[in-house]
Amino acid sequence: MTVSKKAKSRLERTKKLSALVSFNAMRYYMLIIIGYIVLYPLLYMISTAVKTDKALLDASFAWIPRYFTSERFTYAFEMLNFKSSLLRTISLQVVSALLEVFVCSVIAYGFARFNFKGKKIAMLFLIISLLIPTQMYSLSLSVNYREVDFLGIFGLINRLTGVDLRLNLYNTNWTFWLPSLFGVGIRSGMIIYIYIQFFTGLPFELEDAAYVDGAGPIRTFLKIALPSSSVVIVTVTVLSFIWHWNETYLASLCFLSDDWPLSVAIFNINQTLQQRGIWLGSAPQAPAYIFAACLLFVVIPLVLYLILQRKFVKSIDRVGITG
Amino acid sequence: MSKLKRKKSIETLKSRYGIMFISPWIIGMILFVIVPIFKSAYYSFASIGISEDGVQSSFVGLKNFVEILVKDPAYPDNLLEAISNLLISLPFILVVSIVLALLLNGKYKGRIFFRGLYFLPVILASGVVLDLFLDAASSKATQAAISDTASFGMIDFGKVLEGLSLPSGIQNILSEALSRIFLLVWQSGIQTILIIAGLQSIPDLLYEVAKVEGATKWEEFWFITLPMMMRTMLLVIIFSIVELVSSNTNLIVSDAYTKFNAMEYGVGSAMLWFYFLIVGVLISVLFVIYNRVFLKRWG
Repeated sequence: MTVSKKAKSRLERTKKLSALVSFNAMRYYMLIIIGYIVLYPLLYMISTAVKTDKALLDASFAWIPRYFTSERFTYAFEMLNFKSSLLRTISLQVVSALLEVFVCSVIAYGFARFNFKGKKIAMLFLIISLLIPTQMYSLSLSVNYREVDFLGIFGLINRLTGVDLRLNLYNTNWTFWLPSLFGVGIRSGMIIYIYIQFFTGLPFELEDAAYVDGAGPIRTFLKIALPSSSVVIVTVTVLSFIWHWNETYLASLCFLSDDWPLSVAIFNINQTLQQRGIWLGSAPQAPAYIFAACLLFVVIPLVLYLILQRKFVKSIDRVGITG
Repeated sequence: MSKLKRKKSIETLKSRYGIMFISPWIIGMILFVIVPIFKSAYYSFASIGISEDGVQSSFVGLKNFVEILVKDPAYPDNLLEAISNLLISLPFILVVSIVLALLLNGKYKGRIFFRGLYFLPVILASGVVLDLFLDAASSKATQAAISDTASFGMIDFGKVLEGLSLPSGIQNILSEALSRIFLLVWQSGIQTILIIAGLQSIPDLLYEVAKVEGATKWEEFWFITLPMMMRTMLLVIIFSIVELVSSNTNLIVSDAYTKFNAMEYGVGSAMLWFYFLIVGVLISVLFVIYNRVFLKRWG
C-alpha cells in the first residue's frame, strides 16, 4: 500500500519535472527565434553599411564582407549634417525629455496624493489626452508658435495700441520646451499615467510623518516622495528620451531645414539622397548610405541603453502598472 | 468640535495642494492641446496662408472636405487601407506582445539578457528607422544584388501557408501578418513592457493558491493572469491604436504631411480630421464592447 503510494508520488514528480524541462526548452527555443527577428534588421544594416561597391553587387550574399569601407559613414555623416543636427537634437529633444520627466512627476503626484474638486474630470481629460494623436494639433501648434499669444490678449493689445507683444518662437527650442514645462509635451499623458500608478502604490505613512513634522507639500514631495521613486524615474526617463529622440512630426513642422534635428534629417534622408542624384530604385549603394545614416542615428540611444539596460529591465518589474 | 474643524481645514488644505500640483498641467492642456485642437478643426474649414507678416485665414466651408473625398482620387483608397491596416494589425500586435511578455516574464536563466535584447526595438525604432530599413531592403537594386535574401533570408511564408489549404480569406490575413512579422515584433516593444509591468503587479498569492489547488499552467493563465490583466490590456489597446494611427508610415498621416509641406494647410487638416473622426468612432465602439464584455465579466 505505502510502497505503491510512494511510487505514485515519485512518478508524479518526474512527470512534473519533465513538464517543467520541456516548458523551459520551449521558452528558450521561442526566445532565440524571436531574438533573431529582433536582431536581424540591425545586423543586416551593419553588414550592408560596411560593404564596398563591389561587395554590394556580388550576387552571393555574405554577412561578413571580404572588404570593408567606412566611406558610407563619412558620407552619411556629412549628409545628415551630423554635428549641428546632433547639437539641435540634444538642445531640443533631450532637454525637453528631461523637463518632461520632472514636470510630469509633479503633476502625477498631485493626482495620486490629493483629493480635490474636479479631480475626476481632470482624470477623464488625462485619459482622453492619451487617445489624441499629436498630428491632430501639431500644425496649429506650429502656426501658433509664429505669433505666441496668451488667450488672444496680446493680439487685442496689438489691435488697440499697435504695440506687438506677440513673440515668434518658430524655429526655436521653445517649441518643445514650453509644452514639456507644462506637462503636455510628447506623450506626457502616458508618462503622467505611469507615474500616477507608481505613486498610488507607494506607502504614504512616511509622507504623513513629514507633514506632522511640519514639512510643506513641496518639501515632502522633493525630499521624500521623489527620492523613493528611482524605479519609476528610470523607466520614464528611458521612454521619454526615446520618444523625444524619434519625434519627427512636430519637429519638422516647427523647424527650417537648416535647423533640423537628427530625427527629421533621417526622416527626409531619401529626398536628400535624391537631390544628390542617388536614387533608391537604381543605385545599389543607396541602401548602404541609408543604413549608415540610420546607424548614426541610433548609435547614441543604443550605447546609453546598453549602459542603463540592467537598471531599466529590472525597473520594469517594479513600476506596477495595473491599467 | 475644534478637532472636527481642524480636520476639515487639513482636508481643504490638501485639496488646495492638489490643485497647486496639477495647475501647470491644466494651463498646458488649455494652451497647448485644447486651443490648438479647436484651431486645427477650424483650419479644416478654412484656407490658410502663412507669409512674412503673419497668418491669414478665411472660412471656406466644406470645400476642403469636398476636395479630399470627391476630387482627390487617392484619399478614399488610402483611408480604407489605413483603417483596415489598423484593424488587422491591432489583434496581431496584442497577441505578439502578450506572447513576448509571457515568454520574458518569470524566472529563468539569462532573463536580463533576453529582456535587454527584446526591448531593443523600443530603443531603435519608433517607425522611422524600421520604415527606412524595409524600404531600402526591399528596393529592386538591393534585391538584385542579394537575390537569395529576397525575403530577408527567412522562410517563404506564402508557400508554407499554401500547403496548409486554409480558407483563402484567413490565408490572406495570415500571410499578410507573417510578411510583416518584423514590423509586428518591432512595433510591440512598448506594449510588451506595459504587459510585463502589469504581470508583475499580479499578487503571487493567487498563483500559490492555484498551485495548492492543483491548477495547470494553462488554467493559471486563463483564470488568473488574463482576468487580472484586463485593465492593463485596455491601456495597451489604447496605446497600440494611437501608435498605429499616428505613425509616420500611415498613409493618411504622410499624405497630410506632404500637403502641409506644399502649404495646403486646410486640405491637410481636413484629411487628418476626417480620418481621426472615423478612428474616434471605432475606438468608442471598442470601448463600449470592452466594458460590456470583458470588464463586466472579469474586471
